[in-house]
Parts: sequence; C-alpha cells; structure tokens
Amino acid sequence: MYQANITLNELQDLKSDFELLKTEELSIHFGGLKAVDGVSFDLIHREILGIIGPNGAGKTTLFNLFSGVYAPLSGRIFFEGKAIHGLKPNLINERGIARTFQNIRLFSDLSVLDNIRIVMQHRADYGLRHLLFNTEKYRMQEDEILRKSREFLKIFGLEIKHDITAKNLSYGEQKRLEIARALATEPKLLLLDEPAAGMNTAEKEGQIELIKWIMLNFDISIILIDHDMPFVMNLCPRIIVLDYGKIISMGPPGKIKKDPEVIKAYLGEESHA
Amino acid sequence: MSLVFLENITAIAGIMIILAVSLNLINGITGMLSLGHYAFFGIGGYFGAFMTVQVHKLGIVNGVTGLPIFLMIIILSGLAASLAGLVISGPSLRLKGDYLAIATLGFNEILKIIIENLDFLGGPKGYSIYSELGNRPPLFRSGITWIYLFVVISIFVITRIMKSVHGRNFLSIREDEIAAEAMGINVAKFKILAFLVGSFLAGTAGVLFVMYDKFYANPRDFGFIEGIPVLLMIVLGGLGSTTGAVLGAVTLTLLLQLLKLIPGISNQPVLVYAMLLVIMMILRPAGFMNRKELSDLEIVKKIRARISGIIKK
Amino acid sequence: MDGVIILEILQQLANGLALGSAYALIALGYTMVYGIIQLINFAHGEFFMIGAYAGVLAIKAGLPLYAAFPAAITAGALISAGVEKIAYKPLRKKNSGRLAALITAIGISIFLQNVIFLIPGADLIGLGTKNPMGIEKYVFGSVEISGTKVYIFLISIILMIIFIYIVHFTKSGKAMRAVSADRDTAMLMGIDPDRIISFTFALGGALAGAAGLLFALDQNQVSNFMGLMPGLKAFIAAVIGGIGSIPRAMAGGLILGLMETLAVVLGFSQFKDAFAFIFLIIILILKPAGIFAMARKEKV
Repeated sequence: MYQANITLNELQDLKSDFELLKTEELSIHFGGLKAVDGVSFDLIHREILGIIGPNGAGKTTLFNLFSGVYAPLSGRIFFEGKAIHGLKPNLINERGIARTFQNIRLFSDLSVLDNIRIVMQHRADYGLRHLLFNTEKYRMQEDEILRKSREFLKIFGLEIKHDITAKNLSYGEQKRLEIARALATEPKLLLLDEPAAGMNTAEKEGQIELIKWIMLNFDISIILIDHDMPFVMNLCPRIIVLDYGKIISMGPPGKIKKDPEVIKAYLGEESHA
Repeated sequence: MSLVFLENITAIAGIMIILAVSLNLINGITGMLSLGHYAFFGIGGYFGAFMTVQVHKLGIVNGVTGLPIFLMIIILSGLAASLAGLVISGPSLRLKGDYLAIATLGFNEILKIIIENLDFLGGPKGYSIYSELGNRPPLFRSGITWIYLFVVISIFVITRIMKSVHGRNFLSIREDEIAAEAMGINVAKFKILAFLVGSFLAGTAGVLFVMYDKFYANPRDFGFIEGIPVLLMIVLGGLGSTTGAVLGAVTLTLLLQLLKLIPGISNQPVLVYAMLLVIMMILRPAGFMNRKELSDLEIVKKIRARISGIIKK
Repeated sequence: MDGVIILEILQQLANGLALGSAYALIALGYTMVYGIIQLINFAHGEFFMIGAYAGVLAIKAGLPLYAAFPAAITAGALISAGVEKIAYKPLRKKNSGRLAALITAIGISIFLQNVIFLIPGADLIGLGTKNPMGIEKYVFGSVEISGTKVYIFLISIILMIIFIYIVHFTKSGKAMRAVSADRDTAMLMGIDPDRIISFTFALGGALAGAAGLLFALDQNQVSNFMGLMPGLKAFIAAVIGGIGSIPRAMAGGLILGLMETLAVVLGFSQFKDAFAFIFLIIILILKPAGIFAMARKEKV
C-alpha cells in the first residue's frame, strides 16, 4: 500500500545537513541502576535512525527522556538548537517531537476519529464564549479539525473505521492508528517504540515501506527502537547500539553487523536468556 | 401526595442534577476519582448563607434589588467553591485513582471539621439565616425557577464543552494521561479546569439548596458520606455520560423520596441505596447509558433525521 | 514535679501506643488486601465494627474475655471473607475495573453501617460495669495510668506476632505473599489465587475484629458508626507507611496514633481527625509511595 521504492543508500543521500536533535552526555539513574549513561549523538533532518540493544539496555528510557516523561539527571538535549531537557511532555510535543509506545497507548474507549481529533487540539484557539454560543469561529475551526482528521484517517486506511471504538481495532490497525495519531500532532521528529513488534515477516516488510513512506511524505526524521535486527538493518541507514545504558557502537548496518562489541553484547544476552 | 411534597421532590431532583452533572465532569469525563464533591457543595451553601445575612444586615435588599443580589450571591458562592476546587486540583496533579479518592475524601472531612470549629458560622450547630436575622426569613429565596435555571445552565455548559476541543481533552485524560501528555495536551491545565467548572456548579447547587426552604447551613449535610448518593447517581446513569447523570439523579431522588413514604424502611433509605449500589456494580457497572449521550442513541438520531426531513420539505 | 511530668508523658505515650497499635491492626488488613488485589477495601472499618459487636455481645452474655476475643476474631474473619465472596469476587471475575470495586466497597461499608439500625436498640450498646478491662488503673501519686491502654498495646503486639508468624511460616501465609508478589507465577506454581484471596480477607478481618473489641473495651461501648473513623485512620496509617508492606503498615499505625495523641496533648483535640487527613494529603503529595519508600514512576 505504501511503497517508498527507495534504497538505503538513496535514503542516506536524502539527509540534509540540518541538525535536528543533539544529545550531550545524557544520563539517568534509577536507584543505582544506570539506565542511560553518558549518551551523546546527533540526528539530521530527514534521517531514519535505529536504536537497538539487548533487553534493559535503556532504549525506552532514552525515548522517555526525549519525550519528557523523565528529566535527565545530567546531560542536555537540544532540538532545533534549543534545550528541551526537563520540559514537560506536552511542551516537547509542541516543539515537534511525537512518539508511539511499546505497549500501544490509544484512547481506547473512544472512536478512531476521536483519537485523531483529540490531538488536533492545537489547531483550535477559540475560547469559552465561542464554544458556548456556537459562533462562526468555533464552527469553522471544528469543521477544519474534522476535515483534517478524516484526511489523516484516509492516508492510513482507517477512514471506514472512523466510528469504531479504538480498542476494537485489530492489533495492526491499532499500531497504525497510534502512528497516525502521533503524526497528527505535526511533529518534525517521530519516535517509534518497537513498530514491528508482534508482526510476521510480510507485515514487517510492509511496515518498513510505511515508515520510509512517512519519512518522505511528511518530510520528518524518525528514530525507532526494535529488537528485530534484520528489520532495523533493512530500514535504517544509521544504527546506534546501546548496552547497559551506553552507546557501544554507531554507524551503518554493515559496520554494526561486524562490530565485535555488538556481537558480544548480543551473545551475552543469548547465553543468559 | 400533596403539592408541597411534589414541589420538594422536584427541587431536590434539580439540585441533585446539578451535583451529578458536575461530579460527572470530574469523575466520569476527566476520570479523576473525587470523593470530595460535597466540600464544594458545602462551601457554596455556607458562603451563600453568610452573604445573604450580610446583605440583609447592610439593608440593601428590597423588592427591586433582591433578584440581582441573589443572582450575584449564587455566582459568588460558585466562585468561592471553585477556589476550593483550585486547591484540591493541586493534589490531583500528583495523585491518581484510589489515592486521589482518599485525598479528596480527606479534603472534604478537613473542611467539614474546620467549619464545625468556626464560631462565626455557628460551629457544629450550623448557620441559621433565620436566627442571624433575628428570626426573620430572608427577602429572597431559591425555588423551582432558580434551581432549574441553574440545571439548564449546568447541562448546557457541560454539553457544549463536550462538543469542543476542551471536552475532548478532558476525555483524553481519562483514557490515557501519559499518552495525552505526549500528544501535546496540557494535562495539568485541563485537570484544574475540570475541578474549577465542577466545583463552581456544585457551589451554586449549595447556595440553591440552603436558600430553598430551610435557610440553614448544617455541617452534617456536607460530609463525604452525605455525598455518596451523588456518586451512586453518576454510576447508575453510566459514568461519563451527562444524560446518564441526569437520569441517575432523577431516578435516585425519586426512589429515595418514595422510600421515605414506605413504613418500616422509611428511616433506612441509605440501606436500600447502598444495596442498590452494590447490585448495580455487580450486574451492570456501565450504568444506564454506558457512556453514551442522548444524541448518540439510534432512536434520537432517527427522530432528528425525520424532523430535519420534514423541515426541508 | 519532674516525676509527675514523666508520668504524664508515660500516660500519653501509653495512650498513643494503644491507639496506634489498634490502627496498626486494622491497617494490616488494608495493606494485605491492597497488596493482593489492589483494592482499597473501604468496608474494612466495618469488619472492625462487626468484630466489636460480636465481642461485646459475648461479654454481655456472660462469657469471659478470653472467649470474647475468639468471638470478635471469628466474626471479623467471617464477615470479611463473606463480603469478598459475595461482592468483590464477581467484580473480579468480570474484570470490572478498580473504580467499580472501589464504589462497591463504599456501598458495602454504608450497607453494613446501616443494617445494624434494623435491630432495635443495636445502634449503641454500652458495656457499663461489665467491662472486664475498664476499671483497672495504676496510680502513681497524682497521676493515673489506665490499665486498658497498656492491655490494648500488649494484646495488639501479641496479635501482630501471631500474624507475622502466620504470614511468614505457614503454607497459606507463604502462598499469600507469593500471590501478592506475582499472581500469574503463583498460579503456575499451583496456588489457587481465589482461595488465597479469601484467606487474606479472613486474616485481615480477624485482625480488624480483634482491634474492634479492643476499641470497644476502651470506649466501653459499641456503635454502628464506630468503624468509620478508625477505618479511615487505619487506611491513612497504611498509606503513610507505604501501602502493600506489612511492617510499614504497623509503623504507620503507631506513628499516626502517637501524632494524634500529641495533637490532643497540645490542645487541638477537636482537630485531631483533620490532622490525620492533612498529614495524609501531605504524605501523598510529597511521598506517594509512603514515607519509607523510594520514588517510583509508572512504567511507560
């Protein structure tokens, strides 16, 4: 459905040289456990960056730092050159970072349409007077939100399901709706937490095309976390490997595959799993 | 059944509708489990009673000024209650679920204890407008008209809010606070807003209740235990549905008042509603309306379509 | 003069510890139930009240104190396990959610408070001179230390020791801790969670029943609303300690009892209930997981 028809090398060339996200020596501890430990890297506009690592390596914690769920203990995060570390999640979203969650977090008792409509709230600025008295301004903005929301649902093939309660969608549709919802906040950076989890091989291939397509069509950067090595290798021109909260390797898939540090980290996990 | 009895039931039902609809905004729509709604009800009642006495003592009340002054008092009482709503919304930013329930319950009890220890509000005996005015009634009072004016205002305001971005923001907090915040919704702001609107309306209900016929604010009327029936009303109606809150308020008020007529259990309506509450939760926790509104029902949609068809012809 | 002050302090300490240990007994039930099914069992204060009635009626019927305690404990255990079976279990099976469970608990609580009213004259029963504890006082010069307070404290301590023994050294106690830690794994190990939940309720109810009788002996009476405030206070104690933990619930109970006594000594007796709630709100805001716990955030 979503064919980006683009190779990794072409993706690599597409990157602009505009630095979107930059982290400096980012760290956070939980009761002595160093979940993220001195992480520094940059992200360029229109880049798809993959983060991999064994269980408990600190991948989701890193996302939680980017999206403001946690404030870092030390270190800094810059987005478009401005510091965002320690900001509340909603303010970070306003700056242009949106995310999905490892265990899908939809507004599950509400309709598919409302899931999108809710996050379009930034498009309305009418006050109490307008909504109470059904003014022109109120109607225009509400109509615009409705139109835009339907447009989004159409893009993601969910338009016919707009009336269905979100929790009654299939697993794949829920994942798609969650991505659509994140994009509806108009981010410049999209964080995907395990976008291929629970999918079979064919679905994973579809997901790869979808993510590339999103990057091209929405003209944004994407960081994604996944366990599935082939999935990440086929999608991301650049990969970061985390272990015990530290970056142990960074570079193109070819380099990562051969890095002895990475092999050690993964074999280590296999042996005690 | 005498006319007075009918009038009383109607008045009580109206006050209960305001309380249920406003509590539903906090508990059912925004998903914050508050057990302290009667604190707002009580503040409105006491504030209204106290203001009524003051304006009478100032001697500015007469046949002409009575109505606007009373309207002012109702609004000010609502604002006084929403000040308390602002205070309790502080903890709501840090606490969730059961913990918030206990904190709000505690807040309600703290307030009751404070009022019971304020001598200028009559202490544990309560505050009687009659005796403060030298055994004369005040020159204005609430009644069916006043009460239902505010019933209409409450339902209208909340229904309109729910058709807006603000209303959907409230819902998103109930559904998933973390996701809502990550999607750019200012969760703190909307939690505070839900408490402000909810407590304002409960405050107006308080003054309407005190000024109905007793002209007497009693601390025992405003404890958290006394507020449990309102919780039952919104659960019975279906948490999150304004239509349900109205239905629940009317049904339960009628039931409680009718139970009073039956000899034997006339002193024990509480027992019956407590049982009902438990049975309801076990059999149909989604309540009458199951989060739907009147306008969501198929039959209403059909009627609407037909009416608009007729109009077009 | 100094001796008098020391004795006065001792008396107040005894009062605080007696009150606190009774709170601790009730708090244990709250915390165990919360640990196992994450429910604030609002009706727990009523199990306390029912236990008190059973014990007092036994004494009024002429039974000795050592027979009244088993009566209170049995009544508390039965009503607690019964309520679980009739009301909470169906909700759990239907997965109705925490709100439904909490509202049900409130409903049960109000029901039990008011069902006593149906029996004429039962809403308040005094013990009068039949109280086997109420008369003894130890006199030191001009200061008297009430024997009841000392007994309450001692009996509570004994009950808590028995309780700790049951939780740590019996098979059911171990199973209870297993279900509390991880219900799914416990099930895989062959533990029947329903049976263990019943057991937990019964054990909590038994402690509450005993605490109820202690309270009744101290007050020399029982009333149908007597469970409300101690129940809420005990819940506060459990939260102060950090709900879910047994030793912390005990510590929370003692802290609350001592604080409340301190409030009375300082001349704020009419505000003592408010103090408990203010303390609770402060603790909840500053340290939501209890004063002894470390900060923990919801998993995202």
